[in-house]
Amino acid sequence: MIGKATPYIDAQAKVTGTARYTDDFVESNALHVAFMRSPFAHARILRVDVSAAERSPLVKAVAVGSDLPTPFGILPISADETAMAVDKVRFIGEIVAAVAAESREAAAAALQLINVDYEELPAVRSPEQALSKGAPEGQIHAHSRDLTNIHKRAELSFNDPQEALRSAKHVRSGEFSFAGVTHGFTEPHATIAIPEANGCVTVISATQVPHYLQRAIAKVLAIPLHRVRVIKPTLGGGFGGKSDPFPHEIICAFLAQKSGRAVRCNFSREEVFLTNHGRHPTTLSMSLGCDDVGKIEGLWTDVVIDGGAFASFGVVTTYYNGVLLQGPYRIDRFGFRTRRVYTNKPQSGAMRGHGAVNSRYAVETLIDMLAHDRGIDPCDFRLRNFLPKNTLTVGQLRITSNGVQACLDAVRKKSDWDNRHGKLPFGRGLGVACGFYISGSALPIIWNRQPQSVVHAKLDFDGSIVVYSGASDIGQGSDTMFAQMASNVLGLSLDRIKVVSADTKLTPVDLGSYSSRVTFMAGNAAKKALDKLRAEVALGIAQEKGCMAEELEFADERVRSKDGSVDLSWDEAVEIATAMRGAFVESGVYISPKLGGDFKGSGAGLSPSYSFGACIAEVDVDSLTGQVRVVKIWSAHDCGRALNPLAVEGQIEGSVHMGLGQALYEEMKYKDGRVLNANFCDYQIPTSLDTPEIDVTIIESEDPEGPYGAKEAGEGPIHPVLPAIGNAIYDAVCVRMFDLPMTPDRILRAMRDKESGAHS
Amino acid sequence: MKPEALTRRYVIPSSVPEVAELLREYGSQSCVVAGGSDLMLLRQQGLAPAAHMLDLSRIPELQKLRATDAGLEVGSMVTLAQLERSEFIESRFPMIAEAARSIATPVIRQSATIGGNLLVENRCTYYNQSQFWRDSIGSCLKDTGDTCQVTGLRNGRCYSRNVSDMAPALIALGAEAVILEGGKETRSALEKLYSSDGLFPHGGISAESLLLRVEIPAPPSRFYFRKLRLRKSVDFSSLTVAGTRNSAGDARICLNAIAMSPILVTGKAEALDFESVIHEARIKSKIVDNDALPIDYRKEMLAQFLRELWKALELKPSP
Repeated sequence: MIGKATPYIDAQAKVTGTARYTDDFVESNALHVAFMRSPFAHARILRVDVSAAERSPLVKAVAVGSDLPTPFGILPISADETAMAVDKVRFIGEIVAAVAAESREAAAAALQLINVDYEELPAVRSPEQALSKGAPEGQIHAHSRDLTNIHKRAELSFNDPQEALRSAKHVRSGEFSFAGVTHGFTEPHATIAIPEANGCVTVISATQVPHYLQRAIAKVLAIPLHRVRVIKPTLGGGFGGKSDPFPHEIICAFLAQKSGRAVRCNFSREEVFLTNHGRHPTTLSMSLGCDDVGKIEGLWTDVVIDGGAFASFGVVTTYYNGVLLQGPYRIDRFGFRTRRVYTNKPQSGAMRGHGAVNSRYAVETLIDMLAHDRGIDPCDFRLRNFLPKNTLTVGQLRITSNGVQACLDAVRKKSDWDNRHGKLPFGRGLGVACGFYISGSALPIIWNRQPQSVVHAKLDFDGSIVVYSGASDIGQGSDTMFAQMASNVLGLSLDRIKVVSADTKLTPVDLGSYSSRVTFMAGNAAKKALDKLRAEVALGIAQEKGCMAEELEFADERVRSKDGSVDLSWDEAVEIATAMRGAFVESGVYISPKLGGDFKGSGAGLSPSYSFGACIAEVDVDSLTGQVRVVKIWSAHDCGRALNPLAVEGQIEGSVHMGLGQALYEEMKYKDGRVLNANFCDYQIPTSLDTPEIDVTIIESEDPEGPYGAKEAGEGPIHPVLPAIGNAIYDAVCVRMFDLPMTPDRILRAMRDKESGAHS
Repeated sequence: MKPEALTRRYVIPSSVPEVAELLREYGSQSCVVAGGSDLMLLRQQGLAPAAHMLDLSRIPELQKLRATDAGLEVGSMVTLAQLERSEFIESRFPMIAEAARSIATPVIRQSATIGGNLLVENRCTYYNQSQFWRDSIGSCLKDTGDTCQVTGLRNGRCYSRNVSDMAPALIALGAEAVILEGGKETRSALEKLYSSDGLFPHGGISAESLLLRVEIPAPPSRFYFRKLRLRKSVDFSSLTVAGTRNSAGDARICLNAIAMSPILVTGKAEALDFESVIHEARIKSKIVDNDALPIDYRKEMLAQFLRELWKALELKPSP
């Protein structure tokens, strides 16, 4: 089963509509929760009067900020959020109060009965404003230093990059800007909370991180961890947008306890946009230098990212914008400064390719410029600078397997790059870019001595295997991966295998579906658990049959010895293995090896392994309208080993589509802090007609520590997509695009500017 | 007042006289559901709060699509999907098929109708928002406020855009609208339905009237149609330009989505002058910041599309 294209084990349920998403759970007699949201970007709350709402006969419970004042956040170092606004509101759409009523309509109507008095405060609209010193009342959070609204600064420098750039023979610099984009997952946020006996509460929620949600609810509700059970049912897409604990989840848990009734909520699409946590709007300047033959000599970048009103994963994002420039090229003189600022907008957070997408665009664009300056083919330029395998970067990221060259070779050959790049008629162009990404953050979010993933595998008398894991299948196929592994290790068909996942009461902890960690970490834990289970079965048979356990082979639902003296059906093997003990469970764990240097910030970007990729885009630019048609995209990704090639292919195609969206179409637009395009008509995700043919190549570099050699495939493929498109536009119409999205008006303006510059 | 008039009704009449009776009774207290793909979103946002809804989906007379001696009759409830799939339309009136295909998505076109598209409500970035959003900004002129959020002015002018793509195509084709008004059929040039008032963009047809069908004369010898939008599907128009030239040498050019109503320029093909047409289009258009694409770009594309139109219609001299 490993390496075989396997349809997801939940595919049939999903396509026939029988899969149960959070909102599909029928909880009899449940109350509906509606949220009152701030109409002001920044305002002091003078008074919240919920008395009229509480008197409404259909309203069973009301919650306000002072009920839940304990701050929380995905990162313990930046827990700056409360379930509802306590003293002031910080963005338009922030939850101020919530009501649980007998119907959705009654809950919505009850919101009209709540009176809130606000005193407006000066709002911080832009990062520039946030960076400068202002009045105390203009501070979104009091903990920002020096009366600014800077949330986090990160700065690292290795081997004096500024001097390297001063002395480099060839340097290119650019000022880049990137609009904020959001995940656009299909299923809106939804939560059901059910009060249980003994003060316990069960929360069914559309979340990527049941474990952290369990912790956040326990913390804010001030109840012991064991009283909170979080279940993630089938989930309709996350992309990082469901990887924080959210206010609505905590509020639902509270209202369930307060009312003594089950409660449920399901966001409108507008509420999803107001919740955001998407990619940070970014401005950055970057300089890159090389020698005569195109060897990179130094890189420096200064980045400002717009975090919106709260922290989310922002501290990590701040570092990732810099440290993830350390590959796939050898850059020994390298440095960055990133500042994350607070503004009065919905918060930014983690989104596919977290923290590295925008800075990747910049560096790949500058590489392209240097290559053209030096008359070196852009693919050759990259080849000359690739990191080898089994090396350390200057910031001590440990590179093990590395298939970047094979990736580049593949897309170069398939696109017929050598015969076509630079030679196509005006308006047609090819562009190339590469990328790399972490395969799971080596450092856990919460420091403790727990493993990052634990998996249990159970064998029962009926010959079935149950794999228990806290990992969240959010559509990326981790449940199927577990089933494939069990099938592979024990030689069983998939119908014998059941995966129980993402239920904090039934499944051991996995930290969650973020940082592309699940295949690597939960996969390793599962492999260990299953190997132990197999060894245990083999031992039982060896003892009974008097053979060597190591001699036994598990395949085709049989257990055989190599010499043929033992040949048991699986049921016979199970009968022996469970004799006198019954069902048994084996456990596997994953703990990252100790990695990294001992300087401040050395933990950022550490991963037990890294994925690599390359992308070539072909575009057709209408020079009269600036409209771009992406003709074809070739994407090659080194995922170590494709445990399920079908899933890897899907992840690469999804990454290409998402990258295409940010490159050419998508943008979170605001009017004085209000999201202007909070729907799928005005927030323009590319449609199937806008999406080109995608040619996928899977490169397998066999990672020494990955399960069966596997590493990530869900995020890394996005990084090279955007710059490949930008570089293709340059090849087509000779303009460099520094602002994303590259909309037709911007391309046309760049062409006009170039023309007028040429004539002046 | 009849007791049922006090309640909210969703009525599905089965004949035109029945609709006429209901319209006479409810007038502006009702809205017509001609597919509902846009109307239902407006209602969800609290923007079309009429108490009663008259669903026209079960009236055979309004669903007729028929070739006439010279041209074509299209009942107001013919779906856009029917228009794009009709072999007759594809061969005789390809511009109609192209215009239909340019609207929304294949799924929406299954329910969206020609009548619904011709009388689609004008749009504006600051109007097509949720109640929460509009409350937070203080509403706008077209909603319940007194200030245009685009211009920031309280001068009573609303710049909401007419975004129908069928309108410029059919106006360029010289279509007539057949309307049931006061129990009688009346007809008028299609462009007469529209008024250059963003608050009441369909001034040529009263709340008590019903658009029965459009009648399209013989096909032109040459045509041009193009819609500007970021994506190849879903998006409303940022600029639609349609033009025809018939065998008698008459040219009709219609522009939409750049003003409160479609802009029509006509003339003898040999007499039309590119610079004066552009000049007229610029004067009549009201391109303000209420669309996904920026003002300057839309202005530039207006000129670009007209240049393409000039070529397609073989107008002289070429710009």
